[in-house]
Amino acid sequence: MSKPLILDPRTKFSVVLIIGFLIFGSSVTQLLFLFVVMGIYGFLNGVRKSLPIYVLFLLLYFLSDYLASETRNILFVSIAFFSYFIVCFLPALLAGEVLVRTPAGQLMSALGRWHFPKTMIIAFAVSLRFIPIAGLEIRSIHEVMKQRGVAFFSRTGWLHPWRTFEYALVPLMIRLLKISDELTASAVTRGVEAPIRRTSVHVIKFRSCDYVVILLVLALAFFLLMTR
Amino acid sequence: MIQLKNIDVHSRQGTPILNDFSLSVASGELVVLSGPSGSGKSTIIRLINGLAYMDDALVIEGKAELNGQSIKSMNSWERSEQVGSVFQDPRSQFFAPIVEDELAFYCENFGMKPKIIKERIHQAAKEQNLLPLLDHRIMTLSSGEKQKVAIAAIRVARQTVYVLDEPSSNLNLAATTQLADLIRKWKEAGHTIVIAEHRLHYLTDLLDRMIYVRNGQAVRSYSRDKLIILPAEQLAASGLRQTRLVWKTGINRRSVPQNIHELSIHQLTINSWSGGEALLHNLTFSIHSGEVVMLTGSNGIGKTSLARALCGLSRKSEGTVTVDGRLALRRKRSRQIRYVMQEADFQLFGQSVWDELFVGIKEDADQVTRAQQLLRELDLWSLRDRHPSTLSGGEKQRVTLAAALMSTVPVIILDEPTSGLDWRSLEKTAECLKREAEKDRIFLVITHDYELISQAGTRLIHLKDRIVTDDFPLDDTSGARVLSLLTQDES
Amino acid sequence: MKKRFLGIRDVVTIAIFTAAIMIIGSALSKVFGVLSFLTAGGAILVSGAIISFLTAPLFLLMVLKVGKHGAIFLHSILYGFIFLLAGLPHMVIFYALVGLIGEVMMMPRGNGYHNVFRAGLACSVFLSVKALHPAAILWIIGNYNPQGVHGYTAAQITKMMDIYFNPITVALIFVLTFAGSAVGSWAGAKILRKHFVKSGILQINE
Repeated sequence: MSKPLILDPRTKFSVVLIIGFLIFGSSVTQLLFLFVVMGIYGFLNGVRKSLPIYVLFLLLYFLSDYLASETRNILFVSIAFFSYFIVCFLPALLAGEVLVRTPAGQLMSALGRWHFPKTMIIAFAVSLRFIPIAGLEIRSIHEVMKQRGVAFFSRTGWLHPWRTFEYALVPLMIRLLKISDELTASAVTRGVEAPIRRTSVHVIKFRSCDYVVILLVLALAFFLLMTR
Repeated sequence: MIQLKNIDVHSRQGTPILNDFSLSVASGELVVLSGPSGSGKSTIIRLINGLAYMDDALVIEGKAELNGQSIKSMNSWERSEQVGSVFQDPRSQFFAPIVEDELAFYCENFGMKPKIIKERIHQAAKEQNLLPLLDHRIMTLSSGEKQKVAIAAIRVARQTVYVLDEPSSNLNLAATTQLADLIRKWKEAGHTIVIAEHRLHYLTDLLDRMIYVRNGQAVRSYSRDKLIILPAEQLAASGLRQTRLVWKTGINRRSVPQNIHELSIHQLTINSWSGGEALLHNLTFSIHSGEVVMLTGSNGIGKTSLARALCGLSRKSEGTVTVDGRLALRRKRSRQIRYVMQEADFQLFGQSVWDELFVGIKEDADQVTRAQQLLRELDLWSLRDRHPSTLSGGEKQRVTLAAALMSTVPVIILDEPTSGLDWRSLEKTAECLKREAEKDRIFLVITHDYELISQAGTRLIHLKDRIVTDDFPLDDTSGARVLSLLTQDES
Repeated sequence: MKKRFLGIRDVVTIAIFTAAIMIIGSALSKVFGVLSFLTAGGAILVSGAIISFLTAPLFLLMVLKVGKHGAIFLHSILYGFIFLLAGLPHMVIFYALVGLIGEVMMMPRGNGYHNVFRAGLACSVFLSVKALHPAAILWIIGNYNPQGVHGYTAAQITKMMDIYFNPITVALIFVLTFAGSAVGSWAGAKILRKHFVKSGILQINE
């Protein structure tokens, strides 16, 4: 397999912005077309393993749509109804996946280039970095609750739901406050408040492929809007 | 140089923290602050790096100067150019997922050019032997490596003053030795260094002065020569940890096997989290009540995974675990085997220390007596009405231990129970473990704390290369063997 | 006195709480997403209420801890930004609006950020407007996108749109979520008083 394309994160941002708004008002045919284009874009950018899942959703929609009109069963109609909305978002989600896979450092570099305020960049960086950790923290708390016999799905849990709610929240809150404190300390002692514009170790640059991608996506948008 | 003059610090509620504290550190000097938990060591560190001045909950009086300039009046970024700060827990200090980006953080904040940033990263990473790890994800590193990243991330600033707050808490012996080497290098380069630390053994040969801090005051000052000749009893009486790692002799380690309880592990294989090769392979051993078994091994060898498998939290294991001869099924194991995690914050639910002991436990007369006794034994009695979140790290660790001891589970697994403890608390914890073990409990203690092993261990199980390599009872002569096992660990 | 603008400590606190709220919200929405497939959308009615109930205490703590104007807005923008990364840029606009509504709730007389009741109220309004976002998006798509390959499902979808997105259903979602977050804020305030105010970690006005 060929190597993934290297795009400037700003290009990826632009693609997300264009596609994200283009999906509104598109017919199913247009969505399919968008999906194919974004599928290729995603494939070129290294989104490979999750592509089949997207295709699966597409198939689910067509299958349930077909079954719904054949059998007129309410279950299929319901599935068709909801999978339709998912299908609407598939092209945008694909564009998003390409963006999300960009290393955080490059994303921050792009935001810096766009003159985002320093505090915003730090906030984004912290949020992004902390999302996977927050999941782990919550899981650890649940494990301790299990050990001490006060978990949600235990006898105590059912008998005293209020207490369980408290037991789950308090350690989480304390933990979040403590991490905020420590992270702040770490930031402040590393000059985060310096009134100087942030730079980045990551040099990002528009290359020819960036221009090609943006031009193609713009052309696509123009074409789709014209055929509405 | 650093000048602290007649500093008074108290909290907004009026709790005194520092009391007429004065300290002056000449440039190029290495000063260690030591003393019991809650003596105000951390606050001194936070005064020097200026963090205390940003804390709305503190009221600070007195004069603190850095190279003749008032610390209070400096901007935080000016302070960060001069003072580098290393904290206790490297896990929660990172902003970037990748090592290189983390090292770049400081330079980026000062708007340096990418080329200069790269140079500085290279130099700092080289000093810490991090060059091969630059493109690694921080989450996958061991605690020793994380601490190195945290240090390199401040070193890019090339400060001349460094403050370290219990830097060895989460490190094993090998990593601690590397830390000592680094501090020696800094000292040779003429940097000024202030370290707040309980573990003294790795600093004894390096320090110029040790300040004994107690109740917010500098009680005494020892030069290196004086500290070295200080007898062990006097250190212990002041609540200080050992200045030389000495094996404790003359105590009865021959546990009386009472055979009330027995934990047996047969052909237990722990599979790794991500699939692939097993972490630990075909472990077979059994432990009887009366034993305090110390479980050692390098970071990432699978000690914590073993503990999680034993208490039924993880499904990634094959083989059998029996308690008292009966097969312990995974889902029911939490009633027989309790695992006390290293991170104390997750494990505190109550609104006071007292309340904490009765989470999931009925408050009847027997249990109340038991709680009173445990709190006294672990030196927590005076803290019983405090909210757990306001306690120091070492105090929290003891509360989680007390909470585990409140239950009737026969097997308790402790993960690094003494990482943030001063000598007095360590001794109390060790005594408590021994006493409880003599009654009817089985303790399996994951640790790399030589002082704890020396005080409380009756047997040591060492893991290496996916199997148990050493399993021997501890006696008066085991000191050297234990030390060599601990130093062989990878950082 | 406290500085008026958000300092680095506030920004980090907001970012961390946002991440935690996001994780809880998205984990639960996944569960409710699957449920709504099975219950023909019934789960949508209560999902907002339950998610808001569980996240309201965290939200409340964040607002009271930071205690400055701009906290809700920054939280909201961060939330939107994470959606943008997932490929849904229109969410930034939506969340910016919601954040502004939340900030306006805190405006009068300036002390809202330390007042439990005011913060709880703002929190409830914020969370219940926020909970409308799936409905809002589905509504846009349902009304402006030509649907379906088969005529029958297209007609059905129109019919279902009428059921789910008539003013009554939307109002019901809003009211339920408001109730959920109000109860959550109330419970959260109780926990905060018991654990954080007493131990001096948090200062609030009643």
